[in-house]
Amino acid sequence: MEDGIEVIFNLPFNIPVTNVVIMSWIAMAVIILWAWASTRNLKLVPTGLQKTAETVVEGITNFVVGIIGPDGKKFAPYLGTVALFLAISNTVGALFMSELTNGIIGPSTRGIAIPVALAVMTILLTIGAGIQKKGLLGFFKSLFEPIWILFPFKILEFFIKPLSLSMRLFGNILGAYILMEMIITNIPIIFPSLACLYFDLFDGLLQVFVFVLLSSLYIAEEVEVKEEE
Amino acid sequence: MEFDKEFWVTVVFTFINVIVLYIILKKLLFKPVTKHMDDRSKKIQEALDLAEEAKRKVDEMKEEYDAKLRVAKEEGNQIIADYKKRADKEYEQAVVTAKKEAELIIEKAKVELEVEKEQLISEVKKQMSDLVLEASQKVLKENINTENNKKLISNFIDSQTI
Repeated sequence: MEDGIEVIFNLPFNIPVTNVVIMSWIAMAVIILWAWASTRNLKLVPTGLQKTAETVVEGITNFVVGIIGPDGKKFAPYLGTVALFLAISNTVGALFMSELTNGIIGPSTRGIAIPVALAVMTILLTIGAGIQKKGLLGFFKSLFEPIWILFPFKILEFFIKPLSLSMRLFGNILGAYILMEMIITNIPIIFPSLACLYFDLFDGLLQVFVFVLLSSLYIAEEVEVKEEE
Repeated sequence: MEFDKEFWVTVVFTFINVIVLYIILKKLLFKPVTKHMDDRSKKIQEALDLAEEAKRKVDEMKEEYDAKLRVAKEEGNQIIADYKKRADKEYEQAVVTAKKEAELIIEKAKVELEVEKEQLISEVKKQMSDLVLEASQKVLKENINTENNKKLISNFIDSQTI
């Protein structure tokens, strides 16, 4: 099985730039262009692109606040960034341009590197949020709650959570990518269009939802206010 | 796939990418849009409050005017009642005065009539006594004590009721 990740060129100091990194840059460029265009001239009554910006911002904020609570407002920009980034990265395969562009315009999360990076950032943010909420000492104390014997498992959780996050995302997208490649090679007409609706669009967006939902849940677990006895 | 140099470089690139994207989106998208929507909510709330306030004011004014109108009506009714009372009084007075005057006139007329009647009777009596005297003189053809006869006749006439 080939995930189609190649080094496209090397930066100075022999830093390899792979096609998924280039895809990330394209995704960033698209998102930034959209954000710039839609918030360039904010009007009281939203029109055109402003509506999309408001829908996205309000939707993500409400979603995150609904899970984390009122504290969640400050996490909305990060989780929204991840959601937008993943939404483009996961579904770009529907353009069927992977073959033509050396794998650049393909789902960039099919490689393990980007999911791992995102999951690590999420778990770091989770730990950071916990420390910010409870203080450094309070955070360490919370590792021994409700009983001390859970401490090893709590530590283990900090590795399991990002692992499951990244593996779920990576596995889904890589699986869909490989399936789509097979379908395109074997039945190159009509069928790929139908299959891409499920594998690229539905599964891609579902994974975005799952990733953001789980990240929110992890953060919510850390910042939730414990009832005093 | 293996955890080679490409993997680590891609991970680092993704860190940088996501952090950069986060900073840019926070500045470009989340902050302004959130602020814009909050401002709009505030503006709508303000407009609603303003409308509520205006409505309250109008209600207050209406109540005030209603009260004023009521007072004015009452005053008007009072004035009309006062004038009616005065008119009634005046009317009564006029009637009383007129009655009195009429009575006075009637009284006067009665008195005059009485006097006239009296005069007339005495005149008639006088003339009758003269007539009777003359007639009796003619009948008797002699003048017996005129003074006595006169008295006699007068007494006779007086004894008769007219």
